[in-house]
Amino acid sequence: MKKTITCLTVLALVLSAFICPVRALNIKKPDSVYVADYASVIDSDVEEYIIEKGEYLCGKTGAQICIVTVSFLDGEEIEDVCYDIFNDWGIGDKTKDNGVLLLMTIGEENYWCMAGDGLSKKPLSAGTLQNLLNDYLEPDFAAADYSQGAQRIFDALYEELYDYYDLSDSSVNPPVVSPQPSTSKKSGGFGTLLIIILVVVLIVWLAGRSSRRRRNYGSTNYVPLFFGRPRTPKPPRPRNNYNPPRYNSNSDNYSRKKYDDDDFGGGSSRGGGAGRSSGGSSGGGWGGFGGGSSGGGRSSGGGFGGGSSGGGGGFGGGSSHGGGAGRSK
Amino acid sequence: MSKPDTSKAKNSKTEDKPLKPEGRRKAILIVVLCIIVALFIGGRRGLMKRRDAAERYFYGTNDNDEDSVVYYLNERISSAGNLLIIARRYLSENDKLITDVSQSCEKLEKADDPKGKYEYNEKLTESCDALIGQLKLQNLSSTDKSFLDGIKADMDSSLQIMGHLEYNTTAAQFNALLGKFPTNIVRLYTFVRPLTLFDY
Repeated sequence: MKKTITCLTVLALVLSAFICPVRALNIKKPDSVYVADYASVIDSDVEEYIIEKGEYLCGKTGAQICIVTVSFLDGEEIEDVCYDIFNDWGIGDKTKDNGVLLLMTIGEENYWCMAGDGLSKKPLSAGTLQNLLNDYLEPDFAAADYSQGAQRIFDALYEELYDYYDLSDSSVNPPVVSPQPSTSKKSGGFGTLLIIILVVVLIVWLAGRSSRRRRNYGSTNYVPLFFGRPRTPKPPRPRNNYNPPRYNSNSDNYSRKKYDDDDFGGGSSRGGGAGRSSGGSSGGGWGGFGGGSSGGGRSSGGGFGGGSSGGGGGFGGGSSHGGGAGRSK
Repeated sequence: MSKPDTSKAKNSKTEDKPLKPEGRRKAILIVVLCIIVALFIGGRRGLMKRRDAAERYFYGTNDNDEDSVVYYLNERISSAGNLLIIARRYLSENDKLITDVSQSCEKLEKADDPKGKYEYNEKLTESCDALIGQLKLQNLSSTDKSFLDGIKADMDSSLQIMGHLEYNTTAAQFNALLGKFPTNIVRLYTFVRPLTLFDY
């Protein structure tokens, strides 16, 4: 009976994760750390350019510049969405908090840029970001040349961080880093489901084992009355002769570079930033990404499934306290 | 030696004199007063302890505590000061908009509780927005224009950051507690006020 209840509970929890998404906005983490073009407005060569330079910068400093394009925000404030994305995805290095996020809402003709806590004072305060956006993004954004604008603002942010971290000993044009092989988006979803099924099976198996172990106890032995009620004895502890291996920092296993391509750095941010004015929301929905208002050229399905051309990297766990800057009101 | 006569003492002990009505009333009154005082002191101490815990996030541990609301309020005052420097280049020193911003900064700095800080912060926002609006109508140099945009962005950014600070979470929890029974009754006679939120 208990086993049945356990199975049903776990199954209900697993199903609820699919039926009731935890986050109201349902923003899917992209495979690529640096570009999430859900509105399909950034050219593929610009995407690759941003990914290559972004990987170089991340490899050297842990800093991550992430550009996200969406069509509409469903009535949400752009600053709040930017804050949520930054903290949920963890942009930038976890300890240095040196991530930067630019969110462009094409349908609402608005944008917002936010830097991690480690950058929001210097070099990317809200004021600095506002000026960079005014100079490098606004002209192209107003002309609806979003791809060009994205590249120019990325270059501007890149230069700021490049100077801040004093990477000038490297060549002016950093070596092009060959992009990581793109992971299949279709297998990503199936892989997650497989893991969930395995977890469910493991929990059920463990529940079954523990119930069998309890039934195998013989008569209860109890301590004298004045110590309390009779209790069943705990199972004997297995002898633990396991000695974990001592890790040798000189070994090959730990000679990998500090910033793994598979991880976002884990940076956080209190916000600060700049962008266009909010200008009010014109409504619409998230559903526009798949095949709706913005066209479905790159997306592989509904929602945010498409966009990025791959490239490696993962989010590092950064967070933000909000703030930022946007389009001038 | 004869034994002392304890019979009278015994009798006096066993024969308890009943309290007179006035004595009984006094005793009841004293007990009731003790209960009221105990409830007041205990209730107030308990609630103020929680309030102080939330206020610690408001003031922070020191002037440079970036997790405190006061830190970002001070940042806004600094930004407003820079705004005044630019404004004085284009407007008269006695211009009402300039004096409004100056006075708002002074009052915000002097306010010593969250409610007062909130009130003067709102006035500072209002006066700065009005001043910035007026300055944008002037023939600003390109440098001053970029400074103006930067200052506005910094001030707005500070507001948003304040909205995400831990203070708002703990203050909201404290206010929610004040609304629940029996705390909502306790707070009435202990005169404990809810905390002002800075949730922009």
